[in-house]
Amino acid sequence: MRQGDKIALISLVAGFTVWSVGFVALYGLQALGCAYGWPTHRAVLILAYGILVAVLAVPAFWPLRSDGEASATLSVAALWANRAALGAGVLVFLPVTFTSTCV
Amino acid sequence: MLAGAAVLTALVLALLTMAYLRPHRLAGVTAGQWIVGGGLILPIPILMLLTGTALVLGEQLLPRGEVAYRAEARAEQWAWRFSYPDVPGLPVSETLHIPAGEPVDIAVTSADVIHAFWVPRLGGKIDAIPGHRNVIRLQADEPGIYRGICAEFCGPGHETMQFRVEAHDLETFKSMMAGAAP
Ligand SMILES: [Cu+2]
Repeated sequence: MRQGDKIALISLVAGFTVWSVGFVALYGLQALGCAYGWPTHRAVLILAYGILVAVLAVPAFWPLRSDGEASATLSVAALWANRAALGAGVLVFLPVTFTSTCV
Repeated sequence: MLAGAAVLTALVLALLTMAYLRPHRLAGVTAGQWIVGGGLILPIPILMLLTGTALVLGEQLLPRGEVAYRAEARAEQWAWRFSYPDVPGLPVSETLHIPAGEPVDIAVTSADVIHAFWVPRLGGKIDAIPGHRNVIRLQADEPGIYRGICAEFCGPGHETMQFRVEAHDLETFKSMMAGAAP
């Protein structure tokens, strides 16, 4: 497999990999903040949300340069998969910034 | 909710019927339009509306402040045991008694593995975790019998792990809690 194809393949799963890691991280931060009563709990969650959206935006707006037919096709698929991951992150993670965290 | 689901089902069935009986009418719609329209433009607003509704309802279900009535639910493989901290003398039972029209806080815990307390008609569902107390606030608007189930797979007896919630009018409930009946 050529180097460009490998990078394109990684890019294809990059967005949703970050999304799933982010989902688990937010879940963990929410639970830890409640368990230990962090006074800055909400700020931590909003900061994590901002970082995740920023990271997700990189592959969504920064398409790969392709060096062949296979990687060109993959790059287009990767770009749109990563845009879907960004959209999913913005929407699905948003509630951690304003809904009740602990009861 | 049911009406919305009925409208969407009718729409999909109508399109499907049309695809069989009058295919030329749909021939002008390109594959891309089907994907963007049916896969993005139609479902995303519906899902956002449902999620928003769920968030608002979820906030309303949270047990904030004090309520007058409390119960405890203890799950074990494979049964539920209900008791009332304000009426310690009452025997532990497999039926939860609550007053109708009043919010009740139910503290849910487990003796062994993770279970989940769920009364579908009263809404809300909460995990029963060993060593941990989760509180769920429920309200039955009308007196009656509401069936509940364990909603987290917990072993070979899971599907039989059902329980009953009996909502009584307030006077009946008070006299029951006073030890009078039934
Ligand atoms: Cu169970």
